Amino acid sequence: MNMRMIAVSIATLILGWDGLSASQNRIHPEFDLLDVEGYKVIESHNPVSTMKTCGQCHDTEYIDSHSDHVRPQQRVAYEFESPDPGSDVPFDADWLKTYGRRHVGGGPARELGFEMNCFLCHIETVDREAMMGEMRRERFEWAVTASLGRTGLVARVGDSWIWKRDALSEQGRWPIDRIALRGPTDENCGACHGLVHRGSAPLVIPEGNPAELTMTLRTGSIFSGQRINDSGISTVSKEQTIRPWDVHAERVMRCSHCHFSLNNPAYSLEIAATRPLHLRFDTRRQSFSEYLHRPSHQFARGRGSMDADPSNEPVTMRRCETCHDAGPMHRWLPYPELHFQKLSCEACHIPTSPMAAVREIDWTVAGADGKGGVRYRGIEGEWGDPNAHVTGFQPVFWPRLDEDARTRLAPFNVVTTWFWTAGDPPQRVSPAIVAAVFHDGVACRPEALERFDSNRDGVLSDEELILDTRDKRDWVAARLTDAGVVNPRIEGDAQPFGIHHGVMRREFALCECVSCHAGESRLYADLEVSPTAPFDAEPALRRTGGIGDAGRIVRATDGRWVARMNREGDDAPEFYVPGADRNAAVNRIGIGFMAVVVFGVAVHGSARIVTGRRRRQ
Amino acid sequence: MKRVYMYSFHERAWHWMQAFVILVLLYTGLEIHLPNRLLMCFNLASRIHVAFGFIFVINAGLGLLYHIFTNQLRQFIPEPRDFFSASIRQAVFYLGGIFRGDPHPFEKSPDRKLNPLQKITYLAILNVLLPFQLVTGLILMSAHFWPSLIEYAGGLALLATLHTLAAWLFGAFVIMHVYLTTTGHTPLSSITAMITGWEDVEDGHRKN
Amino acid sequence: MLIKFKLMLSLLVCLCLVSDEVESAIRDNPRAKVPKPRSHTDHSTFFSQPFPDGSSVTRACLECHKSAASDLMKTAHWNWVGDEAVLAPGHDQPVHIGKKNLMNNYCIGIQSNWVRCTQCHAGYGWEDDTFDFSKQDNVDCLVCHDWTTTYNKDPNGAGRPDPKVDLLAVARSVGYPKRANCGYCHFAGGGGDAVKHGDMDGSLLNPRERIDIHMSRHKLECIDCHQTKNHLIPGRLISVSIDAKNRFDCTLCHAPRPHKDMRLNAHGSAVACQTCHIPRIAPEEATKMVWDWSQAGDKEREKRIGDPHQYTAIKGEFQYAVNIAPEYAWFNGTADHYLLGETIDPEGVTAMARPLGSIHDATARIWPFKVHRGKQIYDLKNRYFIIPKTYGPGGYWTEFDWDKAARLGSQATGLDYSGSFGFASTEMFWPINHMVVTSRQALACKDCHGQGGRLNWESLGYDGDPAVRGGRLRTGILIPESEGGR
Repeated sequence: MNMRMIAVSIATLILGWDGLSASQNRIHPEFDLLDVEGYKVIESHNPVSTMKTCGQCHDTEYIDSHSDHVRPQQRVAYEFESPDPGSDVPFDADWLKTYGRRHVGGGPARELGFEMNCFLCHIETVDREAMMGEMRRERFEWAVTASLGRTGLVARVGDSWIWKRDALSEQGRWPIDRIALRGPTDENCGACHGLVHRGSAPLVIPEGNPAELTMTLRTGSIFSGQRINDSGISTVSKEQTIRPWDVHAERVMRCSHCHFSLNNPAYSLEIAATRPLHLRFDTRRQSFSEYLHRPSHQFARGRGSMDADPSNEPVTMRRCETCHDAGPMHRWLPYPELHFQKLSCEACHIPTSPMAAVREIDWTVAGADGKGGVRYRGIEGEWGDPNAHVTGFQPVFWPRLDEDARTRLAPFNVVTTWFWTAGDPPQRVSPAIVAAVFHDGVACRPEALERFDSNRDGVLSDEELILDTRDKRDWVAARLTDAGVVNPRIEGDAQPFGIHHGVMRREFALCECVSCHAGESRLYADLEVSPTAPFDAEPALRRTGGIGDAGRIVRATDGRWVARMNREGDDAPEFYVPGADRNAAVNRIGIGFMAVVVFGVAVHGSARIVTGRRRRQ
Repeated sequence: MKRVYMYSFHERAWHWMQAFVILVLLYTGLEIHLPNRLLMCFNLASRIHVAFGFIFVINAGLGLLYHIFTNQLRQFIPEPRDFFSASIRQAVFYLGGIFRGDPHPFEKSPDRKLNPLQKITYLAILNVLLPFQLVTGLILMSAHFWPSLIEYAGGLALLATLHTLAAWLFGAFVIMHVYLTTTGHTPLSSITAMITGWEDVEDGHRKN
Repeated sequence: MLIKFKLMLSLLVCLCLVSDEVESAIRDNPRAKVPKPRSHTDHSTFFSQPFPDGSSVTRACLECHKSAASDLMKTAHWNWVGDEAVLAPGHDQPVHIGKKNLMNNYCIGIQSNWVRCTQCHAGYGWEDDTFDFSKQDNVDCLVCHDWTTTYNKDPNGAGRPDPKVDLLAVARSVGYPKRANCGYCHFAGGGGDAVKHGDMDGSLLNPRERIDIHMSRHKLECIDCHQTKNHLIPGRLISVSIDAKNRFDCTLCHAPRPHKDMRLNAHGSAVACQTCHIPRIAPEEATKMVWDWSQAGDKEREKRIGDPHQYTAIKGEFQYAVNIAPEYAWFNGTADHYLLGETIDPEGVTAMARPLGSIHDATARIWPFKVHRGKQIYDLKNRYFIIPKTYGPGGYWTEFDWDKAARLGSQATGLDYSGSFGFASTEMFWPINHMVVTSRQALACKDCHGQGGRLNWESLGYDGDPAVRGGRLRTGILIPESEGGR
């Protein structure tokens, strides 16, 4: 009853908020675009300043000061663009010129002139190419203005931008009726975070930099309500795959419905850890006007896969159970509580990924673009090629310490980064040095071709660029030593990524008992980590995102590296799956005992028969 | 040789009921232990196993009450007096006398149905194995309502393993038991008795 | 006693265990409602002499099927008018309406154009208003019962067979009506395949599952749903009727709340099955969406354009569409149809046929419609639509003279023609009922709700998306007592 009350209250609030966002366009007033001095840009012809413009009503200093989006996220940055996402790259103009595409500005970038770009998330058509162009030219103060390039409010003239008076409203203000300002849509989030899709046009992998699809690359998740069989991705048995890519997207939920602004009065919900025991729902809320004045731009988030120490990160995300009552829907399931205790919701509701994901990023070699090779799992063919056959993959199940301090099996993908290290303490070798081994800046070096071009077509393809033999590895190591690298050696960094999107509803979830309760248990299935590991290199698993010791990367009997749940030894977690787990010793004892009995009975019985006959004779 | 009314209707019904339940439990238990290799599906097997587990518990309880109230419980209790020598005599009979056609060392009668060896065996089965299996089974079952109980009881892995071990012993007992029924007056006389209630027993023996 | 108790107990436990399995096994079984395969008698040996004309075949049929003609004569397939008079909105007296005396915004009306239009009449020789509806010889048995698919009615023959047809072969082939028989007229309405309905066309003869699940996987014939008794075929469309009688829907075979999902079942009080399960109209063959008669008459333009799907001199300008989303409106089963002589507003858009019902009407549900829009001739002074004579001598298609066509047409309808004419806009709603798809292709939440959904909530009477604002019950638009079956 109490759960229902909460649900109703939450629903009411959500409804209230959604109503607001639907009519937001009518609410948001027209406003003057101001430059950094506070003058109207239409008169000063200067770049727009969001701090001043939006600051007319919103507390932009507050917004700029606290959001994770504002801080450059080197830690989660771009394993697809650098072999060294973890170290302290200084935040400077060079950083922005390289990664600024995915940075919202503000914070430290503000000192360079790149203010927080509110438009990136609050309007529909953002010109990120133009924005990036200005940053490459180190005209950071123009970056925000350039991102309005597709709204028609500004036009590029030669090297600069001019404001279009006739595109503005009669009073020379932002034409709110034509260019809406509203809360972030899935498309805004998807621009940096992963593949999202809405509408009836078939979903395809967009052209351009795949690195922008981080969620999709790391976990294979696509946030779209489109049915897989209606999409443009050639998945296996596509015609039969009638489920949507994500049931929440299908049911018209948006990214911001779960990753809400933390002080949004409609959503703000105290997490279990801080909530007083007697209180399920605190009706005291911040007013909407207060919220609109100082909207928190810190969004609810779950335990990040890369969070090293779970306790350090505030977990503000709802778990499935906050909205869902699993009880009534799982009446068919024997031992529901036991299952809930051992399995995360994701384990059954995201048991497979229909989409491919990254398996390895190999910085030990370098392609023509100077970058390492990216290898995918679950796809036969090139990523982004509409003809490629997407087979998807089955994630590995590992116990995960979740947001509510429960350790339950959850699905993971593992992305392994291979790279050269040198020196002591080891430091990662710059990809430029590795690239120089293979390329002289113009073409492939002939000695590299000689060793790697196995099909002799004069080009080094991704398949050929693998250090799979001692010769190849030693050759590259020798070239690196020649280039001044001390004692180069290969290391592998295996990063687990929890899969939380791409949820299937019950019809498609894992609900056959024997999927898990059988010899070939789904729960204990291996995930291939690296069939093409560099010679003699070992991937080291990062224990982040709540993975305990139960997650292991081991060498399978055929020599491949696989991700597996540790089931042997004292530190193995307590998992006993009837049907899948058996104590071999007990079985041997039992069968032996039975055999002795049967044997004894047979001997005794035949002796009786023989002696009985003899007596009768 | 004489015909004796050995087993009452209630005893027989109870016996066959329990036999049936145990066989079903063994089969479905095996199915749960090794899914996808036998005839039944895991889902059905586990449901039947749970249901028959309950029947088994109830039946065992009813049997106990019956034996207590009909004062038959003493049948199972070994007489301390010359218990060892009697047991040895019975063992010697099974190892030797039975081949020579010697008469049974102990006459079977409605008041004394069990020989000393049987008494030990049943004592072990009924006091150790059966309660053990009942308790482990019930705890496993209780996880449906109180999953934490399993943790207190040592964890699923331990309980399930012990439950499996006991099941093997039960299986062995069933084989042994069925075989030993053929050691009566005639190979089929004991089974016939358990069906009809009347058994042919050897008469004119010494009593001990 | 003890034993009995024990047996009962164990039985009980077993029953409890299997009961939920049993429960889930009892499902909605629409197949059971479909008639068993009907018997068929091979007629090939019954006839030996060639038949000179259609009526002679009819006489041969009636020798055995004595009541067939008199049965058919009671139905709309013969009379082209409803058997009951209905009270139309704005009229004092009940009227008999039907194809015979109504107009639409395709070829407009049959009066004065009988010879061409009655190609689709289940009879022979309806050439003018003197046709004898009581003459059994005039019944056309073959168009519905031919199994050779060679039977063809002469387009200029007032329903008589094409002289090239081998009537003997056709007569020998006869059997119960199949898709091709019904489709001969119903697929081709409006002058060609797929033109008229949007949910019925030649692609149903052998459809893929994505087109129609009933006629592909389940191999249903038309008459498996339109279960016919004594030649009376149930089912009626608002293009020729305005009362709710004799309409039938999916619940003829399907359970009224067939989904496992509670939310989907709850939709049933406001949304017709068709709305989600027929997401597209004309999925394979293009259907006509716009017909502008006012542009007719330009032979040069016809030559220049060279595509009869865009322009013809005799008919005017067209627009076709394929595989498009239908339009949606509240529909309670009754309709408003334009009747001859009703005054119109020439500046506005007149509905030739439109569904009745609104968000405030508990019996109304949101249905999908094909809306056919057009411009057609009306009497400038009298301010009503005219049925022009298009076909035959003096008709517009031969002389391209609208005035003459209007005059001749009005003579047939008996309406006064003032001598001046104009063109006014019309629209006609066609409820979509066929080409049902399974849940695999049916609409999902996101198709209507959320950003970019296909329903226009404001125009349906909601003040916003009911997924977040609440449905008409919750928001008090509908008084709960008045809504049945929730």
